[in-house]
Amino acid sequence: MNSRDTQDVILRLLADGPLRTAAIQGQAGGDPDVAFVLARVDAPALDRFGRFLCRHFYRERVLHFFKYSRALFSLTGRAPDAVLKTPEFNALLPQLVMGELDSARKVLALLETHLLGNADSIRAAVPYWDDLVRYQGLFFLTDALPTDNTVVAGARFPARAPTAAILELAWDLPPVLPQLVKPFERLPLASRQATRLLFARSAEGEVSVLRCTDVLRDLLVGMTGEQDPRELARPLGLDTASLEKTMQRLEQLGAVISQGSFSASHRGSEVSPAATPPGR
Amino acid sequence: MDTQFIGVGAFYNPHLAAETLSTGDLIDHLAMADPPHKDDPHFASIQQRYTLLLHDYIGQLADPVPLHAVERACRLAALYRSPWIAEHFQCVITQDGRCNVDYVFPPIYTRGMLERYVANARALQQAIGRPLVLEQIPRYFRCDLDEIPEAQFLREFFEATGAGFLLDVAHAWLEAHYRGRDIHSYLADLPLDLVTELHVAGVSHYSDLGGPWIAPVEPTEELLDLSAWAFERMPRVRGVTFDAFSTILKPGVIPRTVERIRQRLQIPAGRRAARP
Repeated sequence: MNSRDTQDVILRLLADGPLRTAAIQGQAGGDPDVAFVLARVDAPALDRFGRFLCRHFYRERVLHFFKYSRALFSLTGRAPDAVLKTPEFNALLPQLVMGELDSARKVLALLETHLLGNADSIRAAVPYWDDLVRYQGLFFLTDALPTDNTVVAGARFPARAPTAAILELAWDLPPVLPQLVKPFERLPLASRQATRLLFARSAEGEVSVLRCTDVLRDLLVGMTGEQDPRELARPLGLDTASLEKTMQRLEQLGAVISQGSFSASHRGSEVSPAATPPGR
Repeated sequence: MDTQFIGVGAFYNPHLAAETLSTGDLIDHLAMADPPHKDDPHFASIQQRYTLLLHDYIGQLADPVPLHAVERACRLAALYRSPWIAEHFQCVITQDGRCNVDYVFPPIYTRGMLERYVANARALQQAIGRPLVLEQIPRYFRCDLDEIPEAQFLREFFEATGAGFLLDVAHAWLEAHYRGRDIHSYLADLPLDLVTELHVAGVSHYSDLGGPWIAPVEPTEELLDLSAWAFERMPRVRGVTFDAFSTILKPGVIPRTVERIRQRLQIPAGRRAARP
């Protein structure tokens, strides 16, 4: 094992709670590289540093993604980041792998219990509280999705990215969100109106949220990689120009992935769109 | 006695931008840990008023810095007109990209790692066309995987690449603390003669660690004294920076700390510092 590989073992031990716990208990499955490193470090101190890193990792993300709930602390009495100091989170630490989706789900479950449990008085003060927590929670989860947004195996056409998700809300949250992080005397109110949002994560890891119309939802749901988007678009009443513009935007945001670029493959093309399926 | 301009500054904390802009000539430069937000109403004034130092995450020099990261660093360095760019002696992402501790963490100090850091730093400097400075990072836990002492690793790196040393005094204090070393002896071993920039900050107690660690807080008198002690041994230093970047920073902390640094290091605002 060269020194760069050795460094990787240290990083894995720090980032991966189950691996670290098993290794320290002598149950790392006989991985000689892990055993080699562990024999040469102060294992209890490495464990403490791993826990510190994990708590820091989730604190940064909770503060960022749950900033709207944090801003309502004076009304709710519930700070999202307080969950990271609870015995329940401490108990979860050895099970967490930093950046892993399943770990994010476990942390989110704690957050939801903390924010939504026995929250009737909060709902009375902030009617859209449940939607707000769900909105932030999906942001939190989308950040934890793998960045490797590779094309679905065998996909012949552009496909909806595994990182794209649709959220149905009872309240129209987007207009009210910027107001929540500014000083206010009375709680900014949202309209009670069914709202659908699309969450997408770009190749660079940036998470975007945009309103999702019925047409966009139906287009995305149909985009499994097995069908030409133009065939999907026709019954939805989407003309070629609108489809191209939509596809370009969805590709930029990371909601749609393809072997090549759908929009680039069509730009300036004089060939009938029906003649050459994109993404081949 | 010669004089030379040594800037004293802080990190740019956007929530404190208005206060920063109101401090007259107290602050010479601002280190940029993040790109400016597109809605930041103060950045244009900040950019016009201050020397800005690129102190963002560029890439870990244990591995070649990807082209897109180099291009991003070039764009930011140009936007800031940064006289030098900073990175850290860190290795935080595994080679397969699957693990990222998302926090500064040093490499093991081996010949193999040194070769990688030297090669990748040379390539980065050539690609960006600006001087590079590297900041040392403390290690919390004992690790017997090093082949050479940290100080030797740093000196050989700087001598091989021509990069400058960004000494963080709080990091040095923590490294000495956790290795059980006398801090002055530890500092004296470091290549202080190659320091371009000095970071001054405080430390806080963390329950997970059962001890002190890096924190965006004001330096204690002990850390200011250490900064002054080290500063006297840095003939090439060009900037001193209060290293605190966090939304938890309260108004008043940055101007007060920069003033304390100026007084303790005897670098009056708007004047050149006397150097032996």
